[in-house]
Amino acid sequence: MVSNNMFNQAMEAQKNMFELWQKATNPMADAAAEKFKELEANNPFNYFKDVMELSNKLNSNYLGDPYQVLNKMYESTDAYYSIYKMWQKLKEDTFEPSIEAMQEAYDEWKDQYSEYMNKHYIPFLPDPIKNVLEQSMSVMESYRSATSKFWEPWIKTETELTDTFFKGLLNDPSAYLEFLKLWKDNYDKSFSKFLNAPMMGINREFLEKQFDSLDKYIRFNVLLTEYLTNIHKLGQETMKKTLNDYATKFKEGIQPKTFEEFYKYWTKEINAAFDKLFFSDDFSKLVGHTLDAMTSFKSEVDKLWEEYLTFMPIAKRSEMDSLYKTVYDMKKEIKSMRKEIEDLKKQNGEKEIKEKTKGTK
Amino acid sequence: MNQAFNINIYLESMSKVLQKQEKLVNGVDVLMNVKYEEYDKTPKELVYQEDKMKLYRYISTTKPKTKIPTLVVYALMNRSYIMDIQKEKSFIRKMLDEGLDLYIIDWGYPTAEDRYITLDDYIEGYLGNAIDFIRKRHNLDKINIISKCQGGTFCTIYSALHPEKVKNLVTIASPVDFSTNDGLLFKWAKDMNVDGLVDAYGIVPGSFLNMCFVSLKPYSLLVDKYLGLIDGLDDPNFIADFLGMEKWIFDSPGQAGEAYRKYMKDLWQDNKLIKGEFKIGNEKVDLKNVTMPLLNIYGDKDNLIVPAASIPLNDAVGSKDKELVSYPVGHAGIVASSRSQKEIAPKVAKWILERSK
Repeated sequence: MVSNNMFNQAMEAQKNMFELWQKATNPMADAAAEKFKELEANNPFNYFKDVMELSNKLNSNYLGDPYQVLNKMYESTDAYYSIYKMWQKLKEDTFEPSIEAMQEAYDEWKDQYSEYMNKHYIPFLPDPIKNVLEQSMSVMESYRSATSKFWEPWIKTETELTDTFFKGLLNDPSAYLEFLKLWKDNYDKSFSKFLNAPMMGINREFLEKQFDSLDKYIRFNVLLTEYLTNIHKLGQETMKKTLNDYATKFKEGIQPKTFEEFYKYWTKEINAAFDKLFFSDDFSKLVGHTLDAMTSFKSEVDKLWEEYLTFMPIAKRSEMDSLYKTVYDMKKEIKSMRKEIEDLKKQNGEKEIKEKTKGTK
Repeated sequence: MNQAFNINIYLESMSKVLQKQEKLVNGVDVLMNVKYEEYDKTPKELVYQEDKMKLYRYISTTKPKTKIPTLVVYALMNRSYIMDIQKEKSFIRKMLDEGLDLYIIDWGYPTAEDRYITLDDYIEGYLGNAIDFIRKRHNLDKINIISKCQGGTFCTIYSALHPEKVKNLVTIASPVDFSTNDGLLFKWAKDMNVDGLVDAYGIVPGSFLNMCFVSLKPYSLLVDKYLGLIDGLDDPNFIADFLGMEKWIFDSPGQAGEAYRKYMKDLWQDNKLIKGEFKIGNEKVDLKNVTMPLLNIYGDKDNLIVPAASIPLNDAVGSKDKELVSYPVGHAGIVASSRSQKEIAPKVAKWILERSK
């Protein structure tokens, strides 16, 4: 009877588990149903209609006004970003469970599973095996906890990361800079800590050098990307400003006479923009940090190469540097001695002359 | 008529495009036959050498008007042949024609073994020994010095330590006060980790210096300059001039690490020279000990060594006979332009000759 009960309860637990997963993947079952009704009422096709209307607006009524073209260029990137936002909203509301819902479902499942195991399985096992099983369950929980802790910064900022990445890609380099900052913060809190953790064993130092150089490589790349994004942003903003200025002049009836005139104007603007950016304190610090990251990375990689080449019959750089130092010190000593000898010769020469002069007197 | 269809603008643009295409096509022939290695051709002879440093004496083009020779000292970071870039624009040749007896230091190209050479070695060693050699050769206590850029900083330091060996000092676009942020190099240098750079490379690569210089005006120096080249591509003289300058601009020697470290940290970052805290060996460099006549020249349009870095020298020195002169030129133009031929070189020569009797 006990086994029957246990079997039934096992089946019940299985059923519960499946229901829980279902609930997790359809987080707000009722709410979702409501959402679908809303969507149906709104007719998803309406989204398509909005896009088509925008497209018609962009492509109709063109009067040969460059200002219209300029506006359309801006509006087209806005439109693309709007479509991305729409897709994101659809995804969040209907296709994917939220992080909180998944966590809730998992916790519920875990409690039920633990209850089932504790009531219907573990009590029937011999004591030593019971302990091992209990410890296994505890280890599993530790794995989950450690993994969650490691990925926590990324999970917490997932929406912001995706948002800023796509915004930066489609629309706005400033957003990409925010993405980089966020990415770097997350990296500092997770992967960087792992790469900089102390190693153990006979190859301890070698492993530490490898991980250290990887960490430095990543940091250098992030800074370099930030540097280049700033330049790209500057180029984009300057072009926008130049086109706006010319569009304004066009409206006032002043036409650009030649392409050269436009080019000279644009060159003047971009050089001024570069000066403004380069002379700023923030950018100056960024240049310093990027250079520092590059030289740090190079130093670490050089040390690694020396490790790789340890057993090759070739001179390593550190060995050559030591030799150069010795040669430099020896050269300096020789020059100093040479000078001393010349001074002594000069003194002796003067002494001889004096004595000769004395003698003749 | 719809403005978008203004045919004249398009016709004019097309015409310009075709002109430039024609220049490009003709330019290929010019590039294949151009001779542009006319730099550093003023005859000279090697008189002294120490490691990679070479001291040359120029063969005079006319009888020298003074018995006191003049040593030309350029920077470590670029090659000195900018002062002898072409026959028609040669600062050196002009000085020789004006009657000066000229020597020049060629610092050479440091290699890995030179990484431990210090700033003290450059100033008290190579420069000092070159000056002593010339003094001994001419049996003189003092000689004249014309110095440019970093060379001027070195010579100012040397003159403060050994005023008894320098007759007249000319500094051209030479930085002494590094506190200014008027120039990008000065601004960026303050945030630079010099130790990291020197420890990573040993000899700071010339390509790194080139990258720094072009980064100051990236669009102008990496794109616009070459667009402007198209207009003169079919003119062999124009191309020869351009290629000569191009060679010089990117011909930056590596920098001996320890010398670079002290130069950048003590001068560019801590500004010790003008504050009176800079030392060579154990000796403090006091600019008030610069008591010989001083001619300090700078370029108003110099974006590398900005005027604010050069001007303070005149107030810092102890010289009674001192002059501060500016010209509307840039850093290279001060020694390699038509103005340098017509105005600057004659001015320098006249100033020296008046004080070398």
